[in-house]
Amino acid sequence: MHTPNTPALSDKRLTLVWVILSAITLAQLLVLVGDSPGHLNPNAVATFSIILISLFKVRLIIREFMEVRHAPPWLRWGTDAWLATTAVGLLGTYMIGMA
Amino acid sequence: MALAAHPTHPQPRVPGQPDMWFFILFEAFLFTSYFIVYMVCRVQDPATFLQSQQLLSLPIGVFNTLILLVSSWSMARCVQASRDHHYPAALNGAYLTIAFGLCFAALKVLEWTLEFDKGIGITTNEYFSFYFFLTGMHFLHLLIGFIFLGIVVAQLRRGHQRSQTLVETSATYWHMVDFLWINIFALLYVVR
Amino acid sequence: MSVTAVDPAPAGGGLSRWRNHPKFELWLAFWTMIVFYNFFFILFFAYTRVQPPPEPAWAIPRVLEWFTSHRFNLLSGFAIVFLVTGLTGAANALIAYSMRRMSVSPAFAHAYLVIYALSAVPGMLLTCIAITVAAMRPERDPQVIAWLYDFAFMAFDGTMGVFLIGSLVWMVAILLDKNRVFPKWFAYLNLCNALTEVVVAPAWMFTEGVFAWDGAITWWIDVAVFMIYTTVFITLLRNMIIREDFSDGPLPD
Repeated sequence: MHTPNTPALSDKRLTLVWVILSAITLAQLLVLVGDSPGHLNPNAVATFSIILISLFKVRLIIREFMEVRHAPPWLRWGTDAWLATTAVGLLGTYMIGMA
Repeated sequence: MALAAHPTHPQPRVPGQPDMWFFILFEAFLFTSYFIVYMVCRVQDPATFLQSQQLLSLPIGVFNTLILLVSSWSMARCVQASRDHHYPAALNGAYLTIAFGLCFAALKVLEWTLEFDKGIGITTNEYFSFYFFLTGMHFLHLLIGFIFLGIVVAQLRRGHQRSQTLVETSATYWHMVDFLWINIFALLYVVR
Repeated sequence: MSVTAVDPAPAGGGLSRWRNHPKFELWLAFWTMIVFYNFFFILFFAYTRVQPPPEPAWAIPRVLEWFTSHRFNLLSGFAIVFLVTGLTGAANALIAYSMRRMSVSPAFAHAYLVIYALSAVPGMLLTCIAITVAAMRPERDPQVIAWLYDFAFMAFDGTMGVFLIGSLVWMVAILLDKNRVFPKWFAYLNLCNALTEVVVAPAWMFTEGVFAWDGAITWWIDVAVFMIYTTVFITLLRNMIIREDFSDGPLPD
């Protein structure tokens, strides 16, 4: 058996990642519940941060849970290219459309 | 496998079949094209989209996001345990993932039922067309995910010649179901 | 064909040398498929302009105008379609051949053939017949012409389940195959294609917007995926013919 990368260690890392992901999700909820419902207005700052935070969560899942951080460059670049396309596509559309 | 023996400088390796990664990137870009079409429609009528969005149940949405996140966590633990030949622990991880997946599916069906009861359907307005389309397509991916989870269980239960590659391939698919949901949740429930 | 004929180029004139080439029949099917897809794309997209489809939300006068202004191209274009529809047989046969070359049960190839033979009738012929009938007599009752218009495009969309199951049959065959006829990623691409068939379903509920039969999601994105899928499988079928060694074992690289 290999010693340095014991399962306990990587399990700890996975759990930490999960805690971070859940904490971000709950923090988002708290911010949203703080808003008075009923008369929400379009809000560019909120939209930008929501999309970017979500893509950050997605990247965390890809890098850690899906183990892309140990993957060859084509896969790391490929997944990041998708994230970048999604960010630019969504934020760009929102910016142009709401301008 | 000797791959895990050098945690500081690991050899680059693709988790699971590279073929599955081709699928995931293809589906990811496909969903991004749906998201962009959604955004194009949304910015043309932001008021209706925002109003309709508030008819959704945010608690169920958040809770379902948390469930999928924890299912990804148990799936990742299952892969680790299986790599270290701790098959009983790996099987537990797989069963947990299936249980969380079923929870998500049940809640999603409940959420849809509540919306149907309010008289909301796919043709109610453009926002709800996207809502039922995106959540429905995601649900379909989730159902396919159960086939992959079944493959994981079948591999882990075999007494011999278990395929770590198949376990990782299936796990990779399951994580895709998770990260697609995170985007869908943000765009349908939260975005302003 | 006999395996012994692989190496020596048989003596004789041009035609008999072709005929005796061991892969003659496979290449014949392959080029017939290429000819069919060229007819298909040129006639549907460029000549009759039935694709991209006109709008489902049009009022009856606009539909009548569309039939009148496209009348000659619709009638002559679909006359050619009616002549060449049978060429789909070559494409389906070649795909079925690929599954027979796999280590899987012949049931896969048979299922695929039956399913796709079925799809040519509603998906292509019925669409073309309905449009031709509507274009044939412009003086017909406008209500009937509008009915035929809807019928034509819904017949086209109505094949989605056939393509869906067909793609899944091909996918499962590739995943189970031990002869490495196709790479596994192509099996997963079949799943992508199958999922886009599901996306067509909302077209039955919308007459405008992105989910209608000409919508950004139901038509444009789906067709983009279908184009990628078609290009990929034609390329892979070509590779299969090049690699074919007419044995039962794994296909050589």
